[in-house]
Amino acid sequence: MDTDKHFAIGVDIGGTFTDVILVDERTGRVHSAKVLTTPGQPEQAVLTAVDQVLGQAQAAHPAVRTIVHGTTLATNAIIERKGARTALLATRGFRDALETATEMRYDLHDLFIAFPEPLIPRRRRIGVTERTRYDGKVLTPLDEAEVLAALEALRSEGVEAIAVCFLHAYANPANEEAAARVIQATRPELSLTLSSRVLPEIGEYGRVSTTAANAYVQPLVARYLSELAGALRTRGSRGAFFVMGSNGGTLSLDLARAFPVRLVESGPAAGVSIAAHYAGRLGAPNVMAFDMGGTTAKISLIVDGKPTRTTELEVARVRRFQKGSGLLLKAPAVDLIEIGAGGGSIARVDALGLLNVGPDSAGAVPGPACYGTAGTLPTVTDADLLLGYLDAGYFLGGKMKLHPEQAAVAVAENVGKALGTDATGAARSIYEVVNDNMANAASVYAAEQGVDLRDFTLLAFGGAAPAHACDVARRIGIREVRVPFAAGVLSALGCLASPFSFDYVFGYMRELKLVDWHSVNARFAAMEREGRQHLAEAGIVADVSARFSADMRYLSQRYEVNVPLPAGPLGPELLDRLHDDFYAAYRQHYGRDIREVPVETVSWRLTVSGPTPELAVTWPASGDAGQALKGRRPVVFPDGGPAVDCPVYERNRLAPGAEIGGPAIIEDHESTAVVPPGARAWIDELRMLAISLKG
Amino acid sequence: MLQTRTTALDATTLTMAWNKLLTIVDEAQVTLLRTAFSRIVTEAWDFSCALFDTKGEMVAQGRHGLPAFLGCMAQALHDFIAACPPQTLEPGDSLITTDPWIGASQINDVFFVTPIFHRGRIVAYAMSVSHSPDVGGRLLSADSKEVFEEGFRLPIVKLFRRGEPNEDLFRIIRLNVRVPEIVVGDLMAQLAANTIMARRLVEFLEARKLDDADALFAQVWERSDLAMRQAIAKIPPGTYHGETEADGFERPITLRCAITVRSDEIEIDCTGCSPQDEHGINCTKRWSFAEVAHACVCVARPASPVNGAMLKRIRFSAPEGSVINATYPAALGARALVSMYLQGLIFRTLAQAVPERVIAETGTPPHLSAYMGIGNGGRRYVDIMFLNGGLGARPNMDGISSIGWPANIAGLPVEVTENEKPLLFLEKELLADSGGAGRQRGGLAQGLTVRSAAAEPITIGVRLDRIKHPPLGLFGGGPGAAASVSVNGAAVHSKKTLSLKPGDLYSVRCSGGAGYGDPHERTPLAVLADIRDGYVSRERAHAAYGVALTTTGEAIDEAETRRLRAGR
Repeated sequence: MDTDKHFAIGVDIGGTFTDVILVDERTGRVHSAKVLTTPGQPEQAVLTAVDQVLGQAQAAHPAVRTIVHGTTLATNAIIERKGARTALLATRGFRDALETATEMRYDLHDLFIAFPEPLIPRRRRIGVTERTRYDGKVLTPLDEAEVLAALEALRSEGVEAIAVCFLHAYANPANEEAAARVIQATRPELSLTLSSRVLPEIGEYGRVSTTAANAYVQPLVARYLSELAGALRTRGSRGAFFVMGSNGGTLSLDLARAFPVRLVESGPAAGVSIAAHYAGRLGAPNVMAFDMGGTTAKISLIVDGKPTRTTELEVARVRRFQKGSGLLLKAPAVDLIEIGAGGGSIARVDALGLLNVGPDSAGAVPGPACYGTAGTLPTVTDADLLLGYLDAGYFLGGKMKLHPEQAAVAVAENVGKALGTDATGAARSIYEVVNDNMANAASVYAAEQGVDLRDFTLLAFGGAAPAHACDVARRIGIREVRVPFAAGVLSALGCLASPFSFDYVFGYMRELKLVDWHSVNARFAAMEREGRQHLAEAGIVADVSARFSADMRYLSQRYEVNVPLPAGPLGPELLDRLHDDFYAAYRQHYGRDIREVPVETVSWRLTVSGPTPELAVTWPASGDAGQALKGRRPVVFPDGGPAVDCPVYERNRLAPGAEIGGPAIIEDHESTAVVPPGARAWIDELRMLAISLKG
Repeated sequence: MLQTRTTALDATTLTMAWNKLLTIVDEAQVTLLRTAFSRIVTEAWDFSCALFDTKGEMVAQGRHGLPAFLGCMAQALHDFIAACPPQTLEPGDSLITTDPWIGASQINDVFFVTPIFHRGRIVAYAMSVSHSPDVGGRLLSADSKEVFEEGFRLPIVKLFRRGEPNEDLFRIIRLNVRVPEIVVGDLMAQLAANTIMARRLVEFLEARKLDDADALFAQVWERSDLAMRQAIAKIPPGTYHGETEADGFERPITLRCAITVRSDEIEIDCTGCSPQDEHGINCTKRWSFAEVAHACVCVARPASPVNGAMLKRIRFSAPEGSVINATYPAALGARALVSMYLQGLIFRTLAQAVPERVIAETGTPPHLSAYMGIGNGGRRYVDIMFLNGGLGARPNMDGISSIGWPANIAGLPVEVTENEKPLLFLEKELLADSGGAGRQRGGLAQGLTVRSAAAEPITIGVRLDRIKHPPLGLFGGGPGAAASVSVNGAAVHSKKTLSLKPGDLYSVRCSGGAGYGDPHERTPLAVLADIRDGYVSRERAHAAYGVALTTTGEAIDEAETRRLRAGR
């Protein structure tokens, strides 16, 4: 380590707050700052918060070794339609793939469904004469005059960015590269994205959608990142600058500017990274990360110490939480599910007399009824308060006073009456239903991933999760629950626990027995060379790993499973092993396999990664452990009888080794953990709250 | 808590238990979708999973899948129980049938039933339906004359006995299909889906220490029925008449209905429909009921997940021997070419009662031609070349361009198809002016042109309609564009099997969604936007919308537009 540079800074820009965390790598000491996000110029909030943490540490910019940055900028640009005016050049006759999308409805009975408008309207989608075959053979070279004519026609449209997506460009980029040369010679100021560079994968809709999104957000993201990096340099920073990618790894500034579509899940990815980090430190290879906030709950899985990953995600859904109602992006990302269940989720009894909780949320405005602001509808937070889980005088460490009487009115009037019960009974029902919804979603997701959650550890973070974690765990059959310390800054910290990592893919669909291994080896080698070069440019040369895999399926199926490949040159001598590996992976997912049907490959993948940073942090010393028990209050538990007189502990004062039997409430400034009757809780050496539910 | 059969469940318990049932069928559907080989399953969602009570009523159905299977599944289990009553069944047994008069009016649709045992007796049934990639016979097409040409039928038989496969039956199946591995693979996918439903339901009952699910099922049924009655009550009562016409095979097919809405039920009488056809465009009564029921659910929008209880509030009759109540041994392979008119007919008829809740006719049936040949890897393939039309305009929204309806059919994947088969696509693009004019415009249809790059002929069983009967608009909205199909530029029959020679061009134009409301009420700015996006031509804007542009084409010619719109 460069001894003059010993600070690592993690930055997480959220919709409301920008969190910055600084770790002193000599001592493990942590400083953090939280400032309001400055939407017009996000770098302002970042610079302010960075200055704050440096001030706390009495340090200056030159002492910073690295800054890792998570941002929702790319996502927000798509959701809020604030990206560049973008045009598309497509193969003549195929310019509408962006608009026709999957052609599938996400609701079978709704005649009034809507879909997001394509990022590039049809008036700026132009077909040009060119054609490549599926095997890469160019049937028709690009008609460059048509590209020039298209650029001319686009002049009046005020275009700032251009996407090029030709059929089968994943197999041979020649025609796209030819178009790029014409565009760069004629309109060098245009931001340019080629499908063969951003996503050389089979499937015209996924590729064009991803290419268009990359082009659409690129000017904005590139400008912002350049300005932030420049401002940091001006202040004297000489540290390495990285950006958090959706895949749970970090990217260099250059890669982030070239492939901003890979930043779309930047924020959630940092959260999953810290979960993976804790999984490692806990010695628990299988972890279900459960992050429940104000409006949604997110669930992701760490399996064998690694975050579960996906190769596609959806943004800008027109119907919340409804798969198929958004824009498809094929970009490597940590996989997670989002459920309309949070502290603000509204409870109501429907026309059939059934209790529903969520997915709509009271949000911060009007807010839950107990906020005493404008909200009058009962929410999960109101139920949590009435059940005794929250302390009306100690919400957010006492910064916000809650109003139990207003919660009681809202819950009793809107839910209790219809169910024929009082406010407490109705609150218990709300608590149970919202937890059941999350447990169901987690179970289905686990089934899709082919894992059994019962031997997983549940890691709870986010404001509302610790109060719900044990009941959710019980419903799933999970027995071990962990609540990390300092939950509010975990995403920023996650940035510092992520390795530099870049994913490559190429589309090559072929029956496994007929694969041309020479060509596969050549493409993999070129990608690995390039990946290692990117890492070297970022100063990472040691402990670089390259992981190869292929998406395979039975011939004529439509869904693939990812099968790891051995490193080094591949050849026909590996066919038996590759088949066996596919059967095993298929069995893992679906519980059976078939030997008679041929196997085919679709996409080939490579991830080049640097080492995972050693993140060793220590938290400030706690107060007087003898003073940890700060009182008692009546608390109602699900499936139980009347309220129990329950001890309440101040978490900051609990030192490692402290043991507490359930029932108990353990509070800190950010959240409240509920330890149910019969459970055993203790504080471990990471200052994590550990809860063991009774078997 | 769930205790005894007679105790009513409290709302919280019922909510969670009902959600659990839906979660169970959804999980089964995900399994089936991901492990199915049949393209029509993964691309047209031609499958479904459901849970039934011991009386044979469907209490929970998966939220995805083919909408019309809802109606078919809800009727079919009674036949299974009659054929194999509980005392003849043991744990590990599974039954199947492909009889179109029991199932879904097409012998490819395999109905697969597994009784769910708990504490020694049957507590529920799991059913999955999946479109088999092949059932022997000739290529799926409209020009069969008897069901026998379409493949072999299986009556209700045990495919598994106490968990062991019925090997005799499997040998018969394997011998009669072109692609035995994947046909059997799909049967195993259905078994996996049913097994998951059984396992999860038993886990649920164990966790709650219950002997059976009767009380839960009864309450779900009761609330679903309540939801449907509440929904129907919002439709003004009365009798409404409607009629539409389809191309048919050689002569037009008339479809007629009289819909009587009462306070708590909808009765649909299809007296007056054409007699059954000698070609395979017929469907069974169960199937036509299912299409009609789907339309009614779309209009009524009951406030709870769809299940069999809702269908009991829809009464349906159609004359025996008519094209939508075809009798044995009618050919049925292209049932969709007539039956997919039914939703549009119901909407047009109910437009008299609830104009704000229906849509103009959609460019459906889509192009559904089956085709077979030799793939790039040298293997034989049998597949379907799906192509969607445009959705009819809605009272407050334009129709969606190129969308699966009423079956949820995915877009044809050009790159994947070219990787698999020696075909070269020249065009797959929206067709300007194919959406019907209207205050709300119909969705645009697609055009597709493909050249055979094969060394040998490709057989195509063309299945398309609306060549002569374009989708009809509502309340002054114009029709969508008519469909067409051609080889090397010359029109071919829309329902006959043809042979595409190497180098030949096959070209399809689907039909567009119809318009809703007077096109002259569409704001000129919306028309201008459509012109700029190439959805509508200047000529069409002038003729149908009464909108003229300035000579540069960049702005609206206000004076001329006023004149056009006044002069009508």
